[in-house]
Amino acid sequence: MPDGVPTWEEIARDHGRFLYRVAFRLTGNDDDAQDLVQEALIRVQRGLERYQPGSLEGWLARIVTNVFLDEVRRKRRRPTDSLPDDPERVLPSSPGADEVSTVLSTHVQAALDALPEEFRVPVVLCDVGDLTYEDIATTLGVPVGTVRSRIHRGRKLLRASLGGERTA
Amino acid sequence: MRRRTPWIARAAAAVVGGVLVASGMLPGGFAASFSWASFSWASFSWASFSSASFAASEDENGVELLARARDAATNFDFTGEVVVEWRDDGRLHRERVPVREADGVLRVGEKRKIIGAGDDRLLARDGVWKRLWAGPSDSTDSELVAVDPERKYAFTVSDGPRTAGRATTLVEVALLDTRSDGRSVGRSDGGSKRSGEPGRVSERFAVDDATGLLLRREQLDRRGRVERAVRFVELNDPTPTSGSDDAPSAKGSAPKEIAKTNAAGEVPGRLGHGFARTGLYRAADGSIHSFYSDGIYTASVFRQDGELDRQELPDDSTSTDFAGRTLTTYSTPSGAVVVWGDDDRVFTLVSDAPKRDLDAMVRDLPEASGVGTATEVARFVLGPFRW
Amino acid sequence: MSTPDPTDELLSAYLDGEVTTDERSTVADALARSADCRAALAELAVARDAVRGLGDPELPAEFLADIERAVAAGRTTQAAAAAAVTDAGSDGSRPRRGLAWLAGGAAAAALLAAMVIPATDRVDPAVRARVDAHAARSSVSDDPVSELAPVATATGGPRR
Repeated sequence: MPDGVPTWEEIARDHGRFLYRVAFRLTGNDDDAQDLVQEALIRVQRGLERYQPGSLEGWLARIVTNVFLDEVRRKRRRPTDSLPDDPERVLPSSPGADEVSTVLSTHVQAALDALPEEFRVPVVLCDVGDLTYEDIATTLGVPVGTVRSRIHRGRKLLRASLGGERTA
Repeated sequence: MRRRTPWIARAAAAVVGGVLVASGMLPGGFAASFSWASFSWASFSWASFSSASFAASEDENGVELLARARDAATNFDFTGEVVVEWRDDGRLHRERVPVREADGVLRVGEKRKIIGAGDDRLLARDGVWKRLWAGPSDSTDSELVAVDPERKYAFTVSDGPRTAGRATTLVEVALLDTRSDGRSVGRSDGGSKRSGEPGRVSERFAVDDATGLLLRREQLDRRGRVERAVRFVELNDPTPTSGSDDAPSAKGSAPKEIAKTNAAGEVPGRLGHGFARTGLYRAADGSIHSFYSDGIYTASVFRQDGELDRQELPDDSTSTDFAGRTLTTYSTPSGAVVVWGDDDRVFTLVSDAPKRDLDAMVRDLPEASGVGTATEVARFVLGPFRW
Repeated sequence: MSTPDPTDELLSAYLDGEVTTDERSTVADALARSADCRAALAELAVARDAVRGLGDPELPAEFLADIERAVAAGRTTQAAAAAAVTDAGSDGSRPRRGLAWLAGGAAAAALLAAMVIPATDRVDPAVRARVDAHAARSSVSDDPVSELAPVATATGGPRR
């Protein structure tokens, strides 16, 4: 292995938590986050040959983001059928684990979940993944100015969700 | 609707039938089904005289309710219709199936396509009855010790929805969250349950208050959507079974149980998260069938010699590449199916367990982590499933 | 003449340190003189701090164990791959998968036998039969109706 290029095992072991953290903040639930991490690790393994030593976590966060966005696009293309109402079906759907908690971090996560992906992704990459605007721009394939604008708008929306009067 | 406590029924049956039931009702899950199965009709009639003897009670926990439901289907005569639903690649399929239980013989499907009599299972194909399974099976004994669903799941009992016009009790099953240690600790009899908060509900059972019959079963995915479900939409007057009917004669031999120590090499005794082998069989075609349970869900791993003939695989499949191999997957009402093969072995996994469990099972089966060419780093991943 | 307060978008970037030197001094000046500007910054900081303060979500129960298992599995197969190189045919043919589990004389004998015996005919995985067999066995230990009803559907329905 060339110097500076970690092995897959090292990445899985040492950065699994980081991957999960970003994935969880993007998706809002642990099942989706685990799927995201699994798929990301597959792509990490394939991409290791081409990896240039640099910001490893930036590279990993970009992979997680791309997997996430691919999944978002895939879901948009294929909406699922919904059954017509059935009078027998009186069982309410189970509430998500997030909905019943009153812990502050869940409140913040819920506010994140409510953000459109367009804003959620840059905010998470910046404030959870600690990526630079430039790295985020590269990941999303947009100019840095767009990153700046989306993060700002994401934060405004978050501020509103988190309570208190809207900022002017 | 809470009526008499079931211990009355048990005591009554003990008096009449001379069967010591009370000792069988351990909080260990499967013991209950074993002992209830040995009731005679006579004990049953006395018990029903004491009115609503099979009704649920506050004292009864979810595990006991489910154990009882397992046998209720063969202790009552009824006719009805069942709706089966299953999700396949996002779409929910649905079909109606008639069922009839008479005198100890359960018939499922139009024109009596499937029959269950005792532990025998017969399937009609092209007008000929074929034996899928034959009892008596010794496996229920091994299940008593091998599997305790309360090690892995939390059970919640509450009033259930009306189903087929009948009042029910709801048993919800959620995976126990063991973030503290990540593994289930051994639980000796009488020991404390492992600590942990229940996670999301993954399975729901609605049990008939009057008869104990299972009227509805639903598996939910992580978003709370129905992944698969079976429920009665019509159930006509269940009455306790009388007499016994004869099932038709059937061709073919059922799989034969083989010794568990004869562990067939690659097929492990434990699989995934908490699945223990409770049966090992050899089918007529020579393939090995290893059967597992975690107390709620089941899984079968079939292993046969030979190279996989991909042309014989049914359509409507999804392919996933994994560790240099190709997994072919299906979604059926009975569960997910995964097939993969190699130069000289074919594995088929069938299970109704949720996706997280399927991932873990495939990882534990040896062919899933194969060797590529020497120059290639072995590809190993956490789990190949993306439904 | 008073200069206008910086835009909220600039303040947001300032919080992240993603500003040019000129922009930085503009903002710093504005913050010094304008209470409104300070208030606006504080509002943006609420949202930023909330997300930054989230910390590590709890890892799912089996997550780390799964990673360890995958890593361990990789080591085993890597070692086997190395072994396979030396044991493969001189034409560098792909090593037989059986080598990965080589463990003692019995396995070696089986391997030898496998190399001598010609490859078997392809086999039909009999998927439908497997589903039937699984459901039948499940129904013996589980509720017969819910375990068998799906089989009735599968055999009668449009699927192969």
